[in-house]
Amino acid sequence: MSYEIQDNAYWEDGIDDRSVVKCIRMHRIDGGRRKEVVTFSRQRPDGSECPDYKEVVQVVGVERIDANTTERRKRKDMERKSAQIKQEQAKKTQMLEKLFHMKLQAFEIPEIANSEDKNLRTRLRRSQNEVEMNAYASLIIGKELGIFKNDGTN
Amino acid sequence: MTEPTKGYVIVASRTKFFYHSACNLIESIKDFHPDAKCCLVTEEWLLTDRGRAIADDIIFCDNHKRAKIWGMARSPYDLTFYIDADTECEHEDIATVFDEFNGYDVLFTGLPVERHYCYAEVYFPGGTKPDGSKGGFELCGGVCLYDMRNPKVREFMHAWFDLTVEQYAGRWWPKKEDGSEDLDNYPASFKRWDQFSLWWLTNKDERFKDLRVGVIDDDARWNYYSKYKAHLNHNKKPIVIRHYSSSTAKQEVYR
Repeated sequence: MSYEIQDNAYWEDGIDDRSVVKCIRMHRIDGGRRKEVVTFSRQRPDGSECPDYKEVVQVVGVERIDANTTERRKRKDMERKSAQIKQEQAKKTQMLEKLFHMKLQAFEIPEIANSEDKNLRTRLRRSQNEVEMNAYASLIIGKELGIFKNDGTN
Repeated sequence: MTEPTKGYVIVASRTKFFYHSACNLIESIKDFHPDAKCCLVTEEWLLTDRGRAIADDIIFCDNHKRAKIWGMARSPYDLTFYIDADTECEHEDIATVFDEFNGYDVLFTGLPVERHYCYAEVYFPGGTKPDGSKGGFELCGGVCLYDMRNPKVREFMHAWFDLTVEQYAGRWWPKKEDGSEDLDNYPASFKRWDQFSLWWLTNKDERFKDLRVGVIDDDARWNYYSKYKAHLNHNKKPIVIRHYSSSTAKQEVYR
């Protein structure tokens, strides 16, 4: 054969009956090499046995393909989890930075900037999300405009 | 013997973003440490009633990109904790920072390998260690704890500002033997970075070879970048200072 089958072949994802194998074939062409990623099913559409599938299984071996598949699935799972953590982290960072800037803007509103209610100002500053921040900003403004009274009545 | 004075220095120059951040930082420090003394170093045109009301000391600075170091050198407190303006205090331990000297004269936070993902450039040829291993920036100037009673510390702070001014103006850069700028060992990309003048003074300047410069214990909690990955647990104890160092975010709100 004019190609070499790499020994990292694995059973295709989502199929656990060893009916589809995926592998890399390295072709030697004019002194160079060309990589070909191929997928073979055990049976052809007409029901006959696929010789390419048979060849890959013979060259690499079922045990090796099983082991490659297990290792690959573990690695992919780790990569997925890692990407998820990264994504969540990036989202949290973005949210915190946005919240920080919104707080700075809130403290530019004259009613908030001039409020002497230390308790509410502190609560606004320590807000953990936009909803909480907006709620405290509204309370401060409402109080400063005389809409809310100190005893909690309106 | 009289007790040393203790306080926090925050510098806000050039933009409203830094000024409003500085006010927010001072208020957040006082949320957790009501007796804290805070010095606001800012430009006169930026100062508002809010700043006047919350700052215990106010020093006016010029519109210089490194007013930060100028302000650090003029702290009115014996024991000073400088904090970048674009940060927020989150914990009562802010009151205990002055217990963190551990025999050092000046302390920063560090740039350990596990946090390199957060920094653009760390290693450079001129920073190579005597044993041949990679070397470079190891200190981060986002916060700084220092003892102004020590004349060497004062000299160091002034020298840092002076050298940074010369560096930014293009009048100073390490030289090769032939007198030309040594851009092979010290990349040109560092020319507008005070981190480099800090590195030079702490590693190459004979005047400060005896200055005890260190990294604060559990340093990540004292300057916790918002971009740090929480699952990597850089801090052992709760975060005290969170740093919102996002240039895009800064530009978004204030010019």
